[in-house]
Amino acid sequence: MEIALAWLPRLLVAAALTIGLSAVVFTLSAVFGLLLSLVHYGREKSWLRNGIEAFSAFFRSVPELVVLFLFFFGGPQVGVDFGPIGSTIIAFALVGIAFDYQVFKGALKAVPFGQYEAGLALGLPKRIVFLRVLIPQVLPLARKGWITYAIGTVKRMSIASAVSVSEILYVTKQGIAATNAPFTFLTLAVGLYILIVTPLLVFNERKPKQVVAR
Amino acid sequence: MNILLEPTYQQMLLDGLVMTLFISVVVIVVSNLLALPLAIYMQRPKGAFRRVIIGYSFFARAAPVLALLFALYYGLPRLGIYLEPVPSALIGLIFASTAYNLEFLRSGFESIPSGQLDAAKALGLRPFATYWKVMIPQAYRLAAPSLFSNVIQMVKGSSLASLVAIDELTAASTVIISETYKAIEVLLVVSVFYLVIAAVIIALQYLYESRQSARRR
Repeated sequence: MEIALAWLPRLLVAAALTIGLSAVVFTLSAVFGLLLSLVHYGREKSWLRNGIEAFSAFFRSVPELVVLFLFFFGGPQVGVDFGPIGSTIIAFALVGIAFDYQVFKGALKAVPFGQYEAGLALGLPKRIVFLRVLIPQVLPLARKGWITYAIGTVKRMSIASAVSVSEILYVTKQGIAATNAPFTFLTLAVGLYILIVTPLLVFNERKPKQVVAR
Repeated sequence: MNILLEPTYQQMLLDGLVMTLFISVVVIVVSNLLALPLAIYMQRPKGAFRRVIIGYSFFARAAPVLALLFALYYGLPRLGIYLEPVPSALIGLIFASTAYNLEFLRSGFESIPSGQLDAAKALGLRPFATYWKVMIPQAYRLAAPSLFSNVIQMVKGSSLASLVAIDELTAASTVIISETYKAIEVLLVVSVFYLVIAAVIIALQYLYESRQSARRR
């Protein structure tokens, strides 16, 4: 018990880092995932879309740890040192964009294409059709998949311990090495993850409103 | 690229690939076999183990897989249980994956209209036949997209075993990188291996889904 109390401040700082990194990655993934899903909207054939699909397939198929190593070890090889935190943000954001792109693409398909055409026929600029017609409908539709992925982001942050980012699991590992009390530390760590994730889980269980205009 | 022509490194990557495939296949098969009876049990309105299963499922999905692997790797020896790294990692990965498969199957079962159970009963089908002939095929069809994407997640998850002393594909790449400093080349080759595995899984999914839709016609 005393061990746990002594290490608690460090674990809380680590938890703050986990939350901060997750928030940055979550925001980047959502913003760029959404933007990519709108690229060449409605076109039958598009080389740009094919490129985005290939990007998405790559980052959804390769383990996060390998992507992380690619930036952490690969960066210095070409003369760019991203550092542990930088590599973590870049790697997890790319994987997150690849996933969120699929989530938003699916949600966009649920909105009838006629709405886009109707908006243009009314003389609205494309930008306004996206901002005021499509996106307000896409966000609630995508919420479930999007938040589920965000919950995963918090947990996946633990993988960053492999490149010595001092998030929850890294400090936990240090604690285990220093005190030889694995269960105390892992119980605390998992408890912290559950505390962080539970609000998102509760939010995700709420029933979405009927959102698509017919 | 010439380091990859080095036979020792080729052998290391190949051994790593075999280990990755072994871990993935065991986790995929065992976690699916465990998830089905649990999902069927959860269809009962009452049951002594319902809460246990709900608690397990919540815990297994809320805790990071890596934390589970560490618990087994660092924790079990403290309890006087000494497992080899491979079985210990397998237990952790199966523990986590079963919970996801259970939830996908459970929501598959719950999406089947309840009238079908009544219809099966009215036709005089025994509970076993009801599940085997009516419920299970439909639950799998409904859950297939989630279950297949979870198969890819399990393959990706096997890379975490490299952090608990298992020489699979990702671990092999870090060893070669530490000897050659050619991180990009090695990691891209490893990525291609994972991409090919994912492509095979996606191809199997298309095959399954096209056979299913052919059968329904």
